[in-house]
Amino acid sequence: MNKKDPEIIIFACEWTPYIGADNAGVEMQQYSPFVRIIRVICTGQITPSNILTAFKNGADGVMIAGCEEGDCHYIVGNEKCIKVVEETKQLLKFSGIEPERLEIKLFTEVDGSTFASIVNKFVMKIRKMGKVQTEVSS
Amino acid sequence: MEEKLRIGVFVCNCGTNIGGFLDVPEVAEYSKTLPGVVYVKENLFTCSESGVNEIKEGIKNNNLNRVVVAACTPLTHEPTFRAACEEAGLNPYLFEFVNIREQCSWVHKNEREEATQKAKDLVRMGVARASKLEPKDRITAGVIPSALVIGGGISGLSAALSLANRGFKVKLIEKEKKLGGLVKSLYKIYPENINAEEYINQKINEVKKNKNINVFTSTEIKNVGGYIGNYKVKAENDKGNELNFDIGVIIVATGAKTLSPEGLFSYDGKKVIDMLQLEDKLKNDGISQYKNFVMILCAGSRNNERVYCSRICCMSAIKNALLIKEKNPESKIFILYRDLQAYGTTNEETLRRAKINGIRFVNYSLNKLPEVEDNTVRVYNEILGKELLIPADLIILATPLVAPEDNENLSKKLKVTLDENGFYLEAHIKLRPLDFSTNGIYVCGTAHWPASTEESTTQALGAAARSSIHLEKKYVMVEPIVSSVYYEDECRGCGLCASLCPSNAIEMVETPKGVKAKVIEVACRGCGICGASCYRHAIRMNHFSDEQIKAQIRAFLEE
Repeated sequence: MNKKDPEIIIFACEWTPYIGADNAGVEMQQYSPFVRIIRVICTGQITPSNILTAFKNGADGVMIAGCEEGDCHYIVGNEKCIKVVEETKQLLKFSGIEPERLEIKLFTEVDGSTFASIVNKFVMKIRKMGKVQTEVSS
Repeated sequence: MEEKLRIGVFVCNCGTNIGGFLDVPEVAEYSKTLPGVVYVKENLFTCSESGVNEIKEGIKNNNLNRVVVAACTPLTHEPTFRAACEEAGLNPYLFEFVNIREQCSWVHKNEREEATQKAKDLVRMGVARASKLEPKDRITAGVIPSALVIGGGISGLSAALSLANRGFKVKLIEKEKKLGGLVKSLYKIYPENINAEEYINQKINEVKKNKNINVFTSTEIKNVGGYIGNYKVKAENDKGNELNFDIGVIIVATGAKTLSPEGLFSYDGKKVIDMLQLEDKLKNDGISQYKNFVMILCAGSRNNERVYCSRICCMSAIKNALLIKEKNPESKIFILYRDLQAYGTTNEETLRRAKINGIRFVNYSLNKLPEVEDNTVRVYNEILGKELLIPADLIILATPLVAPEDNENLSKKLKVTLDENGFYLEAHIKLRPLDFSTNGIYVCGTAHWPASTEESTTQALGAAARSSIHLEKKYVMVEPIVSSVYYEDECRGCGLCASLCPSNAIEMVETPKGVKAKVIEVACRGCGICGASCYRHAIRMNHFSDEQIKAQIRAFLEE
């Protein structure tokens, strides 16, 4: 990776978004190569600490990919994660990191083109913002 | 003493699916430099017999204690590779899958260099995660060989009979005073035109006579605790008596109801009636005084308020139109429709027969709804492009099936999901169409979606068969990807995890060290909400622990 390239982590729940990511491959939908997907069972398991670990270690953007509201396989996991993301955005502000670098996306469709276009949009936004300038302290 | 890591990495070319778009030899060479890696092998197809054997030999010959495969998606071949590890004597949960096909080579086809770099990163992340994996044993638990069927309509009766005839005990709960459900109010059942009342009474008698079935009418579910194989159900009857059942599996067959026609097309219950009232008139020879019939389909459905199609109303209208013609060949019948659902060969044939018998079909649109006037219906025929005035002695509204309000309540007790229309939602439309995502609970009939008697029965038999798998086996085996109270001393017994758990899988128990959370592993579905919420970090998700996730994050970013 070039020093200027953004480093982006996507936490993808293994249901709609992870299947969407796989389908992007099956459909050969091309998207930015600067994202790394970490598979989780449900977005409900993601903690502020997971997200902050990413920023602390130099991530320029974190996207959390979950299922549509009302469609969580664990009923409330995604709703809970929305709150975690809101709170973590506040923590990011305290640390001098733009909260826009963190996003939660709820996927209604498992088709690959949706996944690819959402990822590309997010990468483009992070690219515009540039690399994170502040060091995050623990 | 901690065992020294001996990680084996297998990088798949997948023919040219991976090797064609990124530099597999480079990824393999790079893998050798990663901490803990002692063996690396490049395969043409890792999932082939020879590839799987290479994993097994790799484990045996190199004493591997972790295996990482970089290939396609875990959603397809994870079981294959886990089994290979297990056969070679390695705990299958010490295996890690890295997705470099669907999520790398195929989505960066024209960026060989970036794709190769990404694959290296992903392998590095996988190796870091593998280092933190722990061996796990599959969880087994007994199953109480008894089923609960909720709802005593055609679906519930069919499911109960099917299970009982295979020798399983069934508790059948119906909230109304009598069994039979919606079919009881019908005149004849399509397509064979068998007498609905006789048919349903015969089923009810079979159920009542069956020694394996206990029927509880005027009874409602109060509370559902427990988990697959071991549900504790509390119900209450109209006399206020509490009933307690120990149950292995649950079938939801609560049915649907027809939308009330109040307020639609000048409904008055006399001259403008709904389809169920027509069925009643047919049953009691109450149609001989009418000559001109008009049926309005999609009454109250497929509009902004209720977007879905109820599917079965078209055919029940056509069926009843033919029955009217049979009783009174002189009658004139108009069916006003928007689109016709006459799917399948039998239905198409019936529609054709209706047309041959002189039943007229008039196409109207949502923008120009028919208007009911004195002794006429005014309708704009979309095909002719002009307005028609149709004489009408009796106007019948085909209203859709809608979900009972009670679904909201019951679904919460069962911890299962509803769709946007309030019907019960299956786990997967194709892979698990009769299961809920909560293990051990199944759905059939119109509780799921508007369905014909035939479809409801088919689904009921399917749900009975699905649920009987567990009853027959007498045990359930669950993947050990569940949460556990890993640091019990840290648990303060606050109960937050238990209250947040969407699967009722955490109980608070009294221990010598005070109240502690305890995970009912067989009920846990592994969402990890508990772990994310514990302010003491006492409870955690096995196999997707914070430590493992953070190892992946750091491995990506530290390079």
